[in-house]
Amino acid sequence: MLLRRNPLIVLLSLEIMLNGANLALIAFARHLDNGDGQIFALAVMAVAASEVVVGLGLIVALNRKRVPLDVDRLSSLRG
Amino acid sequence: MTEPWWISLIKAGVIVNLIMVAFAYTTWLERKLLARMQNRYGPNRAGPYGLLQPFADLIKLVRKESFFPVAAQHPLYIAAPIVSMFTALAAFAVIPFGAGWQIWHYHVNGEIANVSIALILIFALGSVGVYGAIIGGWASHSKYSLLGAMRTCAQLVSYEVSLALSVLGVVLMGQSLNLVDIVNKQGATIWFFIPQLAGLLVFVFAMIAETSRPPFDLPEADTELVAGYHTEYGGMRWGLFQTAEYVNMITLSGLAVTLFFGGWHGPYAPLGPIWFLLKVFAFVSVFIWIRASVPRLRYDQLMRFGWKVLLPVATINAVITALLVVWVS
Amino acid sequence: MTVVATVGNVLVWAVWVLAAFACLGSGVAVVSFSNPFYSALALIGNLGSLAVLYLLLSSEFVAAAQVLVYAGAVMVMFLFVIAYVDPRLESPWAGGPGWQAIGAVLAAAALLVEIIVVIGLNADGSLAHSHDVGGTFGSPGYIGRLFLTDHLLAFEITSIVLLVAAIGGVILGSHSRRSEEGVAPL
Repeated sequence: MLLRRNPLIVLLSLEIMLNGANLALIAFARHLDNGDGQIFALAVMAVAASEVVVGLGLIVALNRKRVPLDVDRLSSLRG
Repeated sequence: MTEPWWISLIKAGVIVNLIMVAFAYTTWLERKLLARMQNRYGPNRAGPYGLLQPFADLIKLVRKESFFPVAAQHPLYIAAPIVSMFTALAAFAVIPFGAGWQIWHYHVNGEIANVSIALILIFALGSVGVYGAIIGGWASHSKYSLLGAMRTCAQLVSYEVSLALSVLGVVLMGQSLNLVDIVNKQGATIWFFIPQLAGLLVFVFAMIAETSRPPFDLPEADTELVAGYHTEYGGMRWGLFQTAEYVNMITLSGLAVTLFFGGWHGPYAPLGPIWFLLKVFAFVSVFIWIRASVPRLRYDQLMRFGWKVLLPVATINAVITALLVVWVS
Repeated sequence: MTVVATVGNVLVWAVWVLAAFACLGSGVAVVSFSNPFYSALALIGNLGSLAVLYLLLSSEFVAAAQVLVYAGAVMVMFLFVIAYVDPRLESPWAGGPGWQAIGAVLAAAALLVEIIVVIGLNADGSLAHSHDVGGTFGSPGYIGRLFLTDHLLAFEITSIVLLVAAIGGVILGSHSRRSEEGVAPL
């Protein structure tokens, strides 16, 4: 996630990280016979979905403005 | 009510083949019915009443050159129809078609797999089926294919929301996501299409859009897009996409029968699978009837209908059903 | 009967190992493909194998939700956007200065060691044996009961987050269209 310059790949890598956390939650939920881990895995899923909506919305908006998709060159907040 | 694993395996094989036969004769039925509705004869050369037409079509498709566009992405181009086909066939595994029988001291269940998340499983497989279209459209490396894939993707994702919400009322009344439980509940009380009429209507509209049948066949609008996401496909690869579409139609008809029309229940109980088959047949015929009588929507009309009509109706239906279920119990 | 059980166990182990390796392999593939479309497809494979792992951990509802939410909605959206913006290819290791790569690897290693130490210190041997789970563990009813009793607040907050994200997405989409109409194209 730190190495790639394409915001699309950065978002994909973010998904992998969230899923790693999810897998740990599910595994410990099963291990300790406690449903809370599953609940939080579902919450993480919802949050990931929201994050992707906003991220992809930004990418599409950038593309409409013909801004190059490179996270190093997106250093200003002014549109 | 458990059965040995090999019975499930045999049953899966039998069901897959039965679905393929059903698919073959759905195409025949469609061509025949459409023709009669348009004052034509339809296929009548191959065999009596053109009954051998599907097999003639199959032989023709298999014998065609498996054309491969130069610009296409090799592995993805080949994988896309397989993904479509696989998800379409796999979804039927959880649809119950009978009450279960005692055959020679083995108990045989009336469905291939009885899982507690059957309904979610069907929707999950349906949503994975979208990949067949989008990968195929992208890998073909053609503008028409890509446009068709975009349309398919947008339409299927939009209507899937309504499809899932429309069955929420049934789930609330059946108090289960297990299709066998839902059918048994309908047998014990009332077929759910009476209390869930709004849900059924939304389901049918969303179902037509999900299988991209007319009047919602924007992904394959041949007057605008040549043929949609499978423009660059030919021979049996195209045949697989087409098969997946029809199998999806049969599966969703089966799901509608299971959820709203009491599944295998009917006046004479041992005829369970026959009743199920008849109901599915009726549903498929209605599909064809709609195709023959309604013109295609425009793209913005399609999206507006999905998001501003179906979704609110489905949501309100679910909320009212929830309130009534709580109030009654 | 025991023979059948052993065969079943071997099968479960085989699926387990296969899913775990598919998960790792596709995870590596996501970050090393130069074409974002292939990366996204690899991520779908990753999510699918994770769903299999969840099934093996008897969390069937989460597995189904994983396929439905991630594979069904999120990744379709990803592929849609990737096909729409058609990004240029990028060599996976070309971007960024070298110290960033070293820093990332070091940070990951430090995090891994920390996690292992913390879990090892706090578990106090309670992780030595796994608990047996009941038949309803992970079923939709079980999840629903937990959500509406113990975790109602988390449930509501999640729904608000989703609502805000949906509104944000709509605003992002419509805003950029308006500015495109107002400003003369470059």
